[in-house]
Amino acid sequence: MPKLRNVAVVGFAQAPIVARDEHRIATEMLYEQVRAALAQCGVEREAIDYQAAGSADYLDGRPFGFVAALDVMGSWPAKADLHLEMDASFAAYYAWLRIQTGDSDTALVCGYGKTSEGEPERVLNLQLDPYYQAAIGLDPTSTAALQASAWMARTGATDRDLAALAARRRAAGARNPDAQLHDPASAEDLAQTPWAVEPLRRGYLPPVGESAVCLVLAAEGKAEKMCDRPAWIRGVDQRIELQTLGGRDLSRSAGAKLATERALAMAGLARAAEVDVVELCATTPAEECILCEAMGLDAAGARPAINPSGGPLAGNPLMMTGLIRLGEAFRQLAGRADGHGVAGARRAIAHGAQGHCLQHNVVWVLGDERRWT
Amino acid sequence: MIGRFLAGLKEDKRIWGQRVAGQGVVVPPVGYSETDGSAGGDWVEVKPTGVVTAVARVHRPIPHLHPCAEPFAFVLVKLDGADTALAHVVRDHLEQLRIGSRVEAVWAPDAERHGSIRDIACFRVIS
Repeated sequence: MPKLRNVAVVGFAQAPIVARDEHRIATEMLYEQVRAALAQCGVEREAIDYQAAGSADYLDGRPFGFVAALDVMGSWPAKADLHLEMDASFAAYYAWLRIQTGDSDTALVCGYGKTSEGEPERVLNLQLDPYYQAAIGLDPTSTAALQASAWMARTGATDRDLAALAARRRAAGARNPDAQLHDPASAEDLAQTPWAVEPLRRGYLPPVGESAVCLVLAAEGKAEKMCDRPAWIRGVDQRIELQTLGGRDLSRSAGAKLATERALAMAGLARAAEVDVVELCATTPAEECILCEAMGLDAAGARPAINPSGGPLAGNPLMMTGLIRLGEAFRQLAGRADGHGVAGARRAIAHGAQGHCLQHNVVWVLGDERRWT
Repeated sequence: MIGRFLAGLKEDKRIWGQRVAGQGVVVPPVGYSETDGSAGGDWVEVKPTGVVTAVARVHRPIPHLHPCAEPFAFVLVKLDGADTALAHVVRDHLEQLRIGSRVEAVWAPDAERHGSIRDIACFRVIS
């Protein structure tokens, strides 16, 4: 493994996830998070070399909607910027890559978007190819249900298994002040909720939610000055799979498996189970089980703790759910997870995903010590 | 490539796939391999029958997005002769539908086929 620059997460601010923020536009929500993240690091915007964001113009309802975010990210005097129409976890990947080139030492990574103002089922239909899959009317809940059905058929998992996992994540979410769902619900209660798209019940899926998040990355030499307990990036990898759903084995995630293997190898770890905390960008219980299988983890195990924040099942703000996983991993390692902290956490995995049925996966391995000396 | 496939649906009620490196016979074809990027090869006709590999039952259809107003199911169907599955819908006899069911294409009437994946109106369960 070649020697890379040690880069750490040094700050993370998140607006609590809500069903709908009635009073602020997306950039106003984001502004507070940018200010809070910089304040955590004790710096002003001139200390930031590079910036990257993930959002969707289709959710914004206007072309080039992301340009408005430049104002609140503090882009003047002009600096290098990148925007992705992807979950902002992938923006963090590009920011990490930029820092590796050596021309930037610090980066802001933002995710934002007011999901409540759009129609996510229609918007996310447009992620599919226009001739075969979008044209048949597939929406993300339906594709997730197709995936769940394939996974249940292969493994023999039942409706009760999905309910039990959803209930565990709801209980965890009740301890996370930034989660959207704070009320625990029993598996029995969730199994009584109506079908969203069978085999997924409404109680197994997060409601529409929105937030804004800002994460700060810094290279060794600056990171230590910006944070007392930086979360060092020890490995990262991303892999994308076929767009044609019927061309993949939907009951497995080959991409998450490969990305995990590569990220662990970069981090010098043999197995995912060697970490203390795992945050997975799984928006259904079936996705979470598929990811656990791909990573070699026990979804019901006590250690590593999986989604102690409640995970996406307790709050799924589109375009930033994956970046929040990275921010949660930072909170755990930096001792900032408050009510949902995992005692003694020194290593973490944060996963981000994009596209229907876990089409694109990014896996981060973090630790409280630098990887390269 | 997509046009040739769609023309087959519209003009002849025939379903064509393409032999592709790393994927076998791909239906519906995109003209290249999604696994290695190589150009698609020979065209291969497949049967209008196949086996269901995934089922998502929609109890409350979304207007102007979903293809029907009544409860239906999205399915992935691996057609006989194909190595990949096609995304489509089943509208009737949903109680008989499950993974492993055999289904058959139901064609839209001649005047209603326009060169679209929806020239196949739906699939119906045959066993």
